[in-house]
Amino acid sequence: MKKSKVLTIFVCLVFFYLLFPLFITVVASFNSKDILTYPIDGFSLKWYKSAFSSSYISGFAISFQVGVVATIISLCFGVPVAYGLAKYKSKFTRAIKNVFFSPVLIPGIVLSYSLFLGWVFIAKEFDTRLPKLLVLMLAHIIVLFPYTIRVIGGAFEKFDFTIEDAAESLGATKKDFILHILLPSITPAIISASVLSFITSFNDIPISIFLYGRGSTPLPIIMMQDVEKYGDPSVAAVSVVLLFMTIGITYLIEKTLGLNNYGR
Amino acid sequence: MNKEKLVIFLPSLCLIVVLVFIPLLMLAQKSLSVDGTISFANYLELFGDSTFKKALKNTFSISFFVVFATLLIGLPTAYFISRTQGRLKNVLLLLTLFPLLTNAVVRSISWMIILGYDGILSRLMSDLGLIDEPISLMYSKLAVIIGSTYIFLPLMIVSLIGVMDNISQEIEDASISLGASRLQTFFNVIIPNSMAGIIVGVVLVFTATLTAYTTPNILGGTRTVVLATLVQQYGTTLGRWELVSSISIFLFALTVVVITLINKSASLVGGRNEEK
Repeated sequence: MKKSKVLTIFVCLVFFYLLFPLFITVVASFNSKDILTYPIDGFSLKWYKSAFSSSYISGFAISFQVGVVATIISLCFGVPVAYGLAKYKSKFTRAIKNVFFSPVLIPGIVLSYSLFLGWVFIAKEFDTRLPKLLVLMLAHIIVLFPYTIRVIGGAFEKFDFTIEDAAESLGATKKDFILHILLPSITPAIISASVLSFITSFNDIPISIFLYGRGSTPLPIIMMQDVEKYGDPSVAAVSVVLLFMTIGITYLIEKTLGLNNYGR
Repeated sequence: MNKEKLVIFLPSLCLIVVLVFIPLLMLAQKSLSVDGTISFANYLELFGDSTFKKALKNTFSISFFVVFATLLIGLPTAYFISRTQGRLKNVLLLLTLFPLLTNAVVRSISWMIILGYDGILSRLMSDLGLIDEPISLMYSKLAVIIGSTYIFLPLMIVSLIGVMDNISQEIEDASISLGASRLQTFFNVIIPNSMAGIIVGVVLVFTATLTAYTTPNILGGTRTVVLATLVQQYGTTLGRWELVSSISIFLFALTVVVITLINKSASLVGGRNEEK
């Protein structure tokens, strides 16, 4: 169809606005001087050396661990719930659905602070200091849980539950049914929920604000602190590495699932 | 209640109760207690606090501006993408979603370079003869608005494309063949039919901006404080813990109220019914 010229120019400007800042970050990461500017004074790769320094690497390791563990556990809790909500449609399930989606309503930083209070309470009353890494993981599970239910729930909505009775009457056990019928039929949803969850956890900052400790600081928080303190191009270099990681993941999503299934 | 339901729902109910409800109750209890007795003193102190009032005002004005800006930019963009076909559409969708997959620090750094002292914008303005000395827009309200609009625009576009894809081309053609201009068609046919997506987008962007922490922290710092950054600043930086709990509860309540209000007014207008 025909589109007006004005609209086309407008949309080009919008995409320039969306993408030019990322381009600036890439360029700024190659600066030879230790300031974040554009255009740069000279070309250098030294900030990439500091991007792979120990503090960023350990931050990456923390974020990676938290992301993977939180993704898996939120799936373990989320898949049965999504199944139950799709199978049993009653007043009761509609009510508890709201309970399960409640974390969405709570601002990340508020959830973070309330869990910090819980940590303090346990430290005082039970004289046990829970490892910060564990608390980070718990917090991230809570954040991911509603997303998991939503994505997996979408797949179960299309699932024909009479198959379950058919399988049972043909002699399949509950375990057979789950392993050979139920899970295979929602595999694409599980993959997209996993990718979405991992990225959400890996990028999240507010939920971790009150919960990280020494030796368990997630990467985005390390980056944010560096940006606040000074702003040498090493943060830009880390950003570029992360951008390429994101491009890789986006490519994988596009290849395996198609983008139309994503973010809806 | 049968056994299967119990096995399915009980573990997750426990999870939510232990990790969400109980900590929230502890938070509420802490915000209402002074030296072990129940009191509204923390809230009274909070509502008299000038920094809090400033943060509240900033939070609201920034959220309104960002919703307005993302709608203004998002509506034509989403319309354009929804009316594009084939490969180009996938590319445009990909380019829209891509920023959503990178973290807010990565996306805010470039705005430091653009808005900072003697940065890209400052040089552009002096080239145009608008300013004589290099300036910095960092830590201003404008910086937070520009940065947040940038961060949340994809969210708005994605919400809008979802419904605009379903508006059939025939309705549009009918409108044009009956003599309406393209612009009239956009305002009288496309926008009213996109109401559901507009409402979803407004709720998402408004609440996201209302509770955003990272972007206002990096681009607004301590000079343009919003509620979320105030929670952290009063807590870890200034040690005014007695106020942190009450601000947190306030921010939570505000989010719930805003979401309820927008959804209620939407169903009054007849936009969005029950979730599909």
